[in-house]
This record gives sequence, structure tokens and C-alpha cells, in this order.
Amino acid sequence: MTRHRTSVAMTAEIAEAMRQHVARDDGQEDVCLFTYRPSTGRLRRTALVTSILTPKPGERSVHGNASIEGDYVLRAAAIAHARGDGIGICHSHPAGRGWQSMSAEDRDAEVSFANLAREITTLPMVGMTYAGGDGTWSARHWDTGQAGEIQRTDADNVRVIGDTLSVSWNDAKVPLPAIMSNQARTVSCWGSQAHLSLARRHVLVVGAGSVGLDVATRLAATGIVNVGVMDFDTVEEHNLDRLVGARSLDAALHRAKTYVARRQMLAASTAGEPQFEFFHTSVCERGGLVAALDYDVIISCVDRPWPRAVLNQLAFTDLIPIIDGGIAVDVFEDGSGMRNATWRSHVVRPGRACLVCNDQLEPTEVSLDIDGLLEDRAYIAGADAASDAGHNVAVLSIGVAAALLAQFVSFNVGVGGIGDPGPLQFTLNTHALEHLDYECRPGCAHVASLGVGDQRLDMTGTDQTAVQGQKPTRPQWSRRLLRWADDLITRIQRLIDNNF
Amino acid sequence: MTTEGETFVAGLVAHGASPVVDGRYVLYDVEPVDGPLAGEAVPTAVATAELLRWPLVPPHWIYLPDRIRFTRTNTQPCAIAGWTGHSRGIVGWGSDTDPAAGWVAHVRGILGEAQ
Repeated sequence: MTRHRTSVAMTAEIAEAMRQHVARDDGQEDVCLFTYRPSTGRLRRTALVTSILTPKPGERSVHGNASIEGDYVLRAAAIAHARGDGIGICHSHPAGRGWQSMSAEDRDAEVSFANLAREITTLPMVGMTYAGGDGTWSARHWDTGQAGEIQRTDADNVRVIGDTLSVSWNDAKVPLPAIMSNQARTVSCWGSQAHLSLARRHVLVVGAGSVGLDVATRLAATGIVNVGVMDFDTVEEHNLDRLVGARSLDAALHRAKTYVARRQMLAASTAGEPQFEFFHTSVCERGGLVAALDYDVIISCVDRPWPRAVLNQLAFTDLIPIIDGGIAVDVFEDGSGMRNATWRSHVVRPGRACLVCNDQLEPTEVSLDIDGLLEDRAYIAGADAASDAGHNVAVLSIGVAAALLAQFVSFNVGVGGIGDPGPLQFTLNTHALEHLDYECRPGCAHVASLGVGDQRLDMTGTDQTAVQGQKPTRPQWSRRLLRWADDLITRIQRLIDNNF
Repeated sequence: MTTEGETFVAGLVAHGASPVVDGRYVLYDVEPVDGPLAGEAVPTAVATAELLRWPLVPPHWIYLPDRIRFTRTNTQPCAIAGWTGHSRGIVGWGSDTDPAAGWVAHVRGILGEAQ
């Protein structure tokens, strides 16, 4: 029995190897076993496929259908147990199209091995089906029910991470969202099939500052149903020149940035029933990390090294692609002008360079960030180091947001059949857009930790910067009254908007 | 070490060092190849609290006996009597196939700058 939603994720290389085994040229079904590791979020359990264990002679027979011997399961379970993995079984439906239901024979075949697999690995067995007609993957976990019986938990989706994020959907568990009349122009860009897949993806925006707020609002306007926004910070006066949509009143009322994001997103959303979530926390905290594990794609709109390091890790350990970027504004030291500005964007995922290997993250700065020293004036003075002045301006941060969203569209929609373009850098003074050639170095620890899921090195801790940002202040009665009045006005405004 | 420093200690041992875990610190000797300390087995330490995320995140502070001085340094107190922590970031971390070897090379380089 599980309260979690379930999913399966695998790299495009693993998916192709599995497809090559179970999709036969002679049109018969075939079957193979695989290993997986769990990745457990707040509301979702994902099985991360780690390897395929093809049958040895005599371990399976093909006779129109396909069947396997108990020895094959025992061999696979022993290998999985030694690694701390679970096992799964995948078979094909050569002419199948769409998410596959289970025949009584399919069910009996999987159930017959599910208890044995659990006994040896202590993890539920996962079943998968490949539909040869259109390449759709289906999946389920074989959990233990309340009375100890084997019980099937159908997955919401199966995600394949390659140049694009390819998602097979279980329409019975994640119904097709209605295409609204106000989405006509959007849907006409990429077609209803792509839209119905895109709109159901769970997208998390980490950081609701000048870039993240804009990104989140545009995802809502595009009609994406499940968008999460995570930020521990509150609106301050000095944010208002970049936080488009935030008001002086938000700063005066110490509104959370997630509050502003919520207001903006609900006003912009075109989804029939938006399911937005807001997390007033840091992804460096355990709760923030676990919440992030529920998402299919994460857009990183933070500039601190620690949260970027946490997200960088998830891209590999938990197969959650991260779309990351940032801006560097280069000013003359005497304050007389701007020398240049550059912004980068990249999809961090297996097959692309991690943030360390593409020179976007210095691990040594992560330790400073963890210790809170990046903001410590005494430390900075003693180190004789220039602090990051955080130069940014609203007219340029939209460029970063646009770069991230363009990467998002290429990666999720596959524009012209091409996926994410790799790391990009835009240089403002010459207006040049460069493709940057990076790949992970041979010793990259992130590549070595591909798909380890819950066995990942724990990068979380107490984020002192977030603790400061979250510190509850007892508002004065006048501020409480103003908040109440502002909330009421916002609700009335939303009520009016929803009726037109 | 993974319970605070276990992986770090194992890495040093693999390189022939004899690290000792003493409360909040891992102590080990490093022999610089140049500078006034060249050829001397210099005792050094890192805080176990900084090893929680090793090897993805390297320690920042290097703890050394007070007799070892630098022309410029940013310091913090050390719980070991007669020792001081020195701020020394390691730029380009993540490119070593063997993190322990990369770390020892980093410390050796720092000791080479000692007065």
C-alpha cells in the first residue's frame, strides 16, 4: 500500500538498450530483467533504471509470448541485492500503442516473481511494458497491500532523459488537461499532442527572483498545470527594480517571494485547473530537496553555489534534468559604466556536462556558502576577495529568463526534432551567441553517481541564509490589517477575473 | 564520515598516509616539496564537519600548528591548542580522478608558501 505516486525514469541509452532487447524483428514478444534504485520524494516514488540484465541461454523462452525461469529472477535479484538495488521485469507488446493495460497472463507472470524479488532485494518489483506500435513505455510497482498481498500501483508516467525529455503518460492516472480557448495560439505552435504532454509535466522553479518569477509566470501562462516555486526569501525594497510584478506594498508587508509568485501565476495561468505549489524553503534543506524530487524538470534560477550544487547533483543521481543559467554583469571599477554582460543557459542532465565541468560552479565556494561566509563582510575583507556585487537589471534579467525558457522548450518539445542545444552563452557587447563545448571530465563524481537515487551523498543541511530569510517576525497590528485587506482585494480581483 | 570523513580517511590511507580522527578533526602529515618546510612531515588537519559532503565539496579550512605562518592569510580559531585554521579555497575542484591525491597536492602547495 502506498500513498505515493509512482514513476520510472531512465536515460535514453538505457531505454534504447531495453528497447533493442524486447522489440524483436520477428514480431514476437520478449522479456528482460533490469535493476533499479528508488528515488523517494515527498509525494512520488521513482524507480531509476540502472542496468539491464539480459537473459542467458535457457533463462527465457519466446513462443509468441515470452516467459522466464525462476533462476533468471534469482540471478538478477542476487546481483541487485549486492548493489542495494531492486529488480524489474520488462516485456513487449509488439503492436501495442499508448499506455498498456495488463492482461491476466501478464499480471500472473509478474505477480509470480514479485514476492521472490522483494524477499531478496527488500524493494518492490517494478514491471514495465514497451508498446512497439508507438514506443510508449508503461510501468507499475508491485507493492505489498494492507493484508500483505501483492498489489499493483500503476505509475503516473515513464520518463526517458536524453536530448529531449520524452514522457509516456498513464492517462487513467493523469487525465488529459482540457485545452482552453485562450491557449489556441500556444497549442498552434507545437500541436495538441505535444501540448498535452508538456502541460502535464511537473515543473519546479527554484528561486523566485528577477528571473525565476518571470519564468514561473510564463510557465503558468503557457498552460502548464503543475508548477512549483521554491524560495525562502521575502520581498525587500531593493528587489523592486527587478522583481516585475512585486509592489512596494509587498516589501512593506514583508511578503514572501512565493506569495508574489502565486499571485502572478494565478493571474497569468491559462490551465483549466492549475495545481500550483509553493515552498517557502531552501532546496539545501532536507524538506526542500524531498519536495524537489517530485518534479520532472527543474529550472534553476538561483545564483548561490550551494543550491546550485544540490540541483546539479539531482540531475545525475535522480535523473531530474536541471535547466540552469545566470548573468554576469561586468562594470567599470569606478562605477562609470558597463563593460559587458554575459548570460549562460544549459540543460544539466546525463549526456551533458555538469555545472562543475562546464565551469559554472566552484565546489570550494559551496563550502563557503554552507558556512555563510559569502555574505560575511569580515571574512571577505580578511580574504581580500571581491564579493559578488550581484549586479543585475530588469531589462537584462528577461534575457536570462528567455534563454532558460528557450532551453526548456527545446528540451521538452524537441523543436524541429532537435533537443537541447547544449550550453549557450550570449555576450551583450557584441550580441554574439556561442555554443560552448563542454563535457564532463573523466573523474567527474556526478557521472559516477548516475541514478543512485536515495543512496546519493547528502548535500543538505541547515541553510543559515534561508533560516534568516524565514525567521518569523511578529507583524505589527497595522501590518496584519494591511495584509488582510490586501489578501481580500487580491481574492476579489481573482474572483472577478475567473468569471470573465 | 560519510559518517563525517570516512571516505576522506580511506582516500588518505590509500595514499600511504596515516590519518588520525581526533574528535572534530582528521589529522595527517603532509611533506612539502619546496619552501622552508620542504622535506618535513608537517602535521595538518581538516574539520570532520567539513567532510560531510566529500568529495563533491572539499573542505575550505586547513588547520596548522601556529608555528607555520604565511605572509597573508585569513584565519579562524581551532579547537586544537596551538593550532589555527587558514582559509584556503581549492580552485578547479572536481577534475581529479582521485580526490584524496588532489587534496594532498593542494595542502602541499599551501605549505610550500609558508614562511
